[in-house]
Amino acid sequence: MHSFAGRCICLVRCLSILFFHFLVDVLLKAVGDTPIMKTKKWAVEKGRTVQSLSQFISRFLKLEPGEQLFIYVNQSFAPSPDQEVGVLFECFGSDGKLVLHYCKSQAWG
Amino acid sequence: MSDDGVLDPGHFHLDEKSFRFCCQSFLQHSDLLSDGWSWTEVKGSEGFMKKTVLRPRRNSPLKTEALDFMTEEEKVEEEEEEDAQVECEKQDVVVYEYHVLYSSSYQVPVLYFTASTLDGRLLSLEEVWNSVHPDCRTQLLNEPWNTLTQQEHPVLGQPFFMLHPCRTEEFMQPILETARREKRRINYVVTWLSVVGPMVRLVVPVSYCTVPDQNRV
Repeated sequence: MHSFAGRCICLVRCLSILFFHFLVDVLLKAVGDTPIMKTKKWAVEKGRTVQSLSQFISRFLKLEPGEQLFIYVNQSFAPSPDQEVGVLFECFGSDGKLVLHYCKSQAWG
Repeated sequence: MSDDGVLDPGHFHLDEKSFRFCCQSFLQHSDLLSDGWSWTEVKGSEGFMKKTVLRPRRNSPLKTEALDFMTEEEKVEEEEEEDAQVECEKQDVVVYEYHVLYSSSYQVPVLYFTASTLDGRLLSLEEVWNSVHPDCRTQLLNEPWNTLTQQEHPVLGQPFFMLHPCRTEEFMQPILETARREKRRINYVVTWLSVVGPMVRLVVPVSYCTVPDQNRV
């Protein structure tokens, strides 16, 4: 284990453990007529905000400028845009992941 | 509405009785969290929930949301600076009063609010518009004056700002449909307020949706 390869493996393991603590598994589920994302499971940084995630999903789904994306936790509650994903994971995560439902609708107004 | 609180299928609005139940439950939770909501009942008229929040203005010298973010030492230093600072601070604090009413014409809850400085000056529609969450501003940009308007408060008769309820059923629909299908109960007012609140800087703590209770529709 004192070989160069051994030390690399050790370093990679340490980094994975570090990353593990900074990332949360998020499972994205579509609601209603909203398009389903091909990749549903994402590793998201704990400090990422709901708004940032929402923008990401909107771009991924190629939403029109007039369309709005809503994100829900616990299938019933829209977390504040400034809320951190890590905090939501602590409150609502189960089986090692946070399930978020997303829904598309026409522009407000 | 039937006895078990199930809404008419195909409808995503709320009747007044259910609105009151939802508010009752909401208020119980608010008390637990000391979130500051209270119920006001005016004789011969409807009741509504209300909450008052003090905030620094967005582009004020106060950099954070908390007014007591400064330590005592720092506060003294601040005071020792020009006297103009004191005048400035009064202008930079905005008092928001949020009211949750029931709209009998749309049969959904409606959010009214008023914003004024500490010396009693009401903010203009433009000033309020500027305080809307920047990300929500893009959403409201298409027809902002239709969605955020100045209206006479139905009970108090004073001018208030209001988020128009015409789209409420639309954004509530997918959530309610899924909940009904899975025979889950949700609190209509909690879900609705969690969506519209952030648009006008009203924070609804996420724990409102975790407490199981009887008063859900």
